[in-house]
Amino acid sequence: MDEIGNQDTAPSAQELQKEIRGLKRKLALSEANLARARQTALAQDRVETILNDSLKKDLQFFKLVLENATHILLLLDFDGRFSYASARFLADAAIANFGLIDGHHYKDVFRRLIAEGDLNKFAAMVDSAVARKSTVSFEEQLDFNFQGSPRIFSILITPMTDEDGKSTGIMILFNDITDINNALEAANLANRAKSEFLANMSHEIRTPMNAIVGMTSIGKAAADLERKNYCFAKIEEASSHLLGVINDILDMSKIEAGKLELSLVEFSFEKMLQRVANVVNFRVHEKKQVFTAHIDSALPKTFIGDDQRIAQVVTNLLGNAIKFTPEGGSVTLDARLAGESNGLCAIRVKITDTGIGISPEQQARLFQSFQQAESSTTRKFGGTGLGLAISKSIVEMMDGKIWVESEFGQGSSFIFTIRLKRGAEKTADLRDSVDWRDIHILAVDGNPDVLLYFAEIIRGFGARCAIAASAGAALGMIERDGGYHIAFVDWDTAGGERARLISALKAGRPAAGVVIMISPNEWDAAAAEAKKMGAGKALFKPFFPSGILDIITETLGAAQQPAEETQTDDAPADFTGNRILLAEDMEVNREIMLALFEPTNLGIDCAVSGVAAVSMFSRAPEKYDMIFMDIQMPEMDGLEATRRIRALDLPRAKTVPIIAMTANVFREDVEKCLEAGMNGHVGKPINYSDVISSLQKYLKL
Amino acid sequence: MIRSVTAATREIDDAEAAVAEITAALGLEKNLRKNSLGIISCFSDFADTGVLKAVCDALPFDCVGATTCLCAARAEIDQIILTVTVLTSDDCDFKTIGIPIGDKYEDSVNSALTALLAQNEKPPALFLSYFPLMNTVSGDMMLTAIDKATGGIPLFGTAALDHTMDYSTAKTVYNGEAFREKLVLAAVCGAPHISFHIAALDESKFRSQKALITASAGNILIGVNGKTALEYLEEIGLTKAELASGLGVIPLVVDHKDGTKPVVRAVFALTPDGHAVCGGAMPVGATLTIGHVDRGDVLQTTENTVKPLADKEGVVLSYSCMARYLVLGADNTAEAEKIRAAAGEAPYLFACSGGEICPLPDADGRLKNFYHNYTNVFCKLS
Repeated sequence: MDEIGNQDTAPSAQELQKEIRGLKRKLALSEANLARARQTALAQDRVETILNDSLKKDLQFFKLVLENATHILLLLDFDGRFSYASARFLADAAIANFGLIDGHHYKDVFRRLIAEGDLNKFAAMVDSAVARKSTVSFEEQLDFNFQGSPRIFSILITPMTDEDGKSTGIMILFNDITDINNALEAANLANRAKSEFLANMSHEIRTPMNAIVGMTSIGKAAADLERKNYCFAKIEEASSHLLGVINDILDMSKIEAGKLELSLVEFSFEKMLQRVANVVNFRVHEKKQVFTAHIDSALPKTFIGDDQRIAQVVTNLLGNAIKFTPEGGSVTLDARLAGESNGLCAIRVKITDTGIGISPEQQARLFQSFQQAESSTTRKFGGTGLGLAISKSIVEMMDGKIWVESEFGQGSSFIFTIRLKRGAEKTADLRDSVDWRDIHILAVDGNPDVLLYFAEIIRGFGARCAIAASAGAALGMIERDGGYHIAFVDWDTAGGERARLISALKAGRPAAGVVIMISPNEWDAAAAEAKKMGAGKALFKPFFPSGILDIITETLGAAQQPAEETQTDDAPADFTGNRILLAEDMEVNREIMLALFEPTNLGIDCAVSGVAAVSMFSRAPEKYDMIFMDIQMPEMDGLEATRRIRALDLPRAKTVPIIAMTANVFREDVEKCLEAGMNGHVGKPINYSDVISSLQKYLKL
Repeated sequence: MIRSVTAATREIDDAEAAVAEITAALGLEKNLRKNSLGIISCFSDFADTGVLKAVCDALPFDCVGATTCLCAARAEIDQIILTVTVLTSDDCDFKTIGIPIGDKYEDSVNSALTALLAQNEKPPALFLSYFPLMNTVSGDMMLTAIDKATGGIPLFGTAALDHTMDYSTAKTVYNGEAFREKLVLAAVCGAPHISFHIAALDESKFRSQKALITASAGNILIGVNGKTALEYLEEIGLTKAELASGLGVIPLVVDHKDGTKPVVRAVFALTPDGHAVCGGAMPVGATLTIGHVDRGDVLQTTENTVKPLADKEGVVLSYSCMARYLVLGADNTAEAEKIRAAAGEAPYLFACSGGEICPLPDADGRLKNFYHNYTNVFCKLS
């Protein structure tokens, strides 16, 4: 039926069924579509939420990165206005919070932070980056906030554009490269210093080697003995210098490797200074300089410490003072107790000279290794440039510090402090044997400092001390006060009145002792004349309290305690009746030992290896009073040889003194020697005095 | 050179009428060349009503294809429709094959393709591919087996689809018959001009936080970052219900880290162990994230891809993931409209896909076959 009910156009049953099937199909499809659409929409929402959360997390990460970035990072919009500034920028620019500059043009902000010229340059770079649509990078020194300490920045300006190439903003990154640049410069400086040092070391080593090699050839060819002796003297001088250079280099290597160690022994501080003064005095008098020492009476008599290393520091500083002070100048050594706490004494040592002085720029580099004040100093005065660096390390190991006070052209004072434990107080004192109240002493010296110090020492002993600045004044005092028990007279001060003054002193008190204050060099020339005048004793300058005390007690005839020092290098040793076994594989070393000790009448049998040493000893154990054992030998080294000897079933094997001769003087090497059964060690190159000391300790004398 | 002519019919119940409509539209007498091939896309009921068989029987050449939930040809776009795209050529020829996919599918694929390849001196330039939509053998697995047998000859095509919630009527089509478990291939032999294009997800819409696939078995995602797939997916905010819905509208993005672009995988189901059944291989060591596509993205990416392709020379074949169709919501023909508009008078084929088969260039520029989800894949043939 059609729309108005006409039965001729009614669809057939087949058509209706087809229609129904079609509708059912469409309905099923629609239902499926709807269900899927619903689920899809929910899933879409879920995924959108996940992505938004992910974006938030990304922003959090980026924020964290930006807030903790050490760089200065700025984001500007397309107009050049701030849209982000990192925390570092806000801190450097002293801006309390970003809100204060948000939306402000970068030029307005930077105008308050950097100089106008810098801003103009910076703005030009920004414009360039935007115009080129590519990153611009450059370095610039900027002083944010005019703090007076400009920093160097590596600056990156990157324009941001959208897909169509339209500008959307600018990213600016400031990377502070000041420290890197400084480190690079320091590294380059250090490299240059090391190169200069190597060149210097090469010179310092080659120069004495040249002298040794050359003088050896000349000496060999020389016909007369005088010329040969001259050459030997030069060889000795050059060898000593070379050994000093090598020792410096080795010490520095130990320090850099952290292997420098202190050997703690009980020692007399004053005696140590005296030994150092004796070593340097020769050069002082060569340069006609005045060398005075002042030792604080409050300093304990003994300390526990590494006296050799302290002596090394004092020797280095005194050596420098003498080296850099012209002829006729003066050098002063002052040592005093600076305090005491927690069982440790603070000792302050000051060495002052009237030398060339050191500028502030040079002072800043002084204690660094491989540096002298400047390379021209090296060329003029020589030296490895390591002494002060080594001294600094030693002082710092003793919980101290070292510094310089100086003005260029005005002289210098090198001062160091160290902390040491007190040693045991001596139970006996020379002063106990003398009633000092009855002793009246006169000191005559043209140097008022010397007189005052001398008087302080004497009065410290408890005696009376009169001082006179000239021979004339002294004569006046003798006439007024009568005689003195002892008079200390400076040879130069007395001058032409020496004989008269000494005569007056003797007249005042016939038993009076007259001691001449003089340098060791000058005494050689003046001794005969002085003795003729009646002054047979000399007190060498600089004088130390213990030296004065010794002279006084000797002069007054009081009993003396045995000297602390063993016999000096000059005293002849005599080991008649003793025989030692020398185990040494190097022929030249055997020759040296045989030659050195020939005058001492010491019998020496040589073994060329550890095997030979064990064999020779086991065949005749009672023959040898002592064994000197080299460590590094072929077949069997000295340690193994010692162990084998100690293990022999012979009574003497356990008791014979065995002394190591070794170039290895690290503590662990010495300990290895002792563990092997040795009694002690001497270092190489052989020091005659050390060997003598060992011999005197163990042999029958 | 390959020419093309297309036809469509909505006659789902009347086979005679459908055949008449199709043959009239195709104009076989004047349009056919020496060798021809028919590509069928149709609503699955066309197979049940006998229209599919009648149409294929009426055509004097082999027909391959698959059921779908939406397709288009000429000016016609609809769900309940059957389209025929005829490829015809004097210098290219076409060989078709249907391979049952069972337990020993690799052997079947290998022997069938070996035999086919032996028939020609030169290997085919392309295999038009129609995969059955199966739970036991995924598209990736079939693709791998084909690649192994052919040495990597380019594959282009689709997995079967339908309009139901469980895809139970999705079938491949071979010479008038529809199959649940038959792989259908058409070798295009000769030297046609071929190009492949993909409209994929916008990478800027991927979740930036990525995870590592730590365990898998083919297309079964077992472990991510050391946890089960379900644990990880729930951790990032998805729900079990969404994942288990079977719709496959959650795009997981997999980066193989081999220089190729990331591929998208839909999640079709969850196993009781919390493993995700995905639309393609989920290799261990690849990174995983989640993507997003909305209506605007679908239309924009399709338009951007198809516009340069449509001209009077040749034919554009387009298979678009069913998930893209779903996000269009009520306006579910909009993507097809874009393609129709771009094609103008030129022949084209559009159909919704249960899985897209299309090669991608690797880091060295060599084409490598991939099975995709969430994409619209294009093949320009001429």
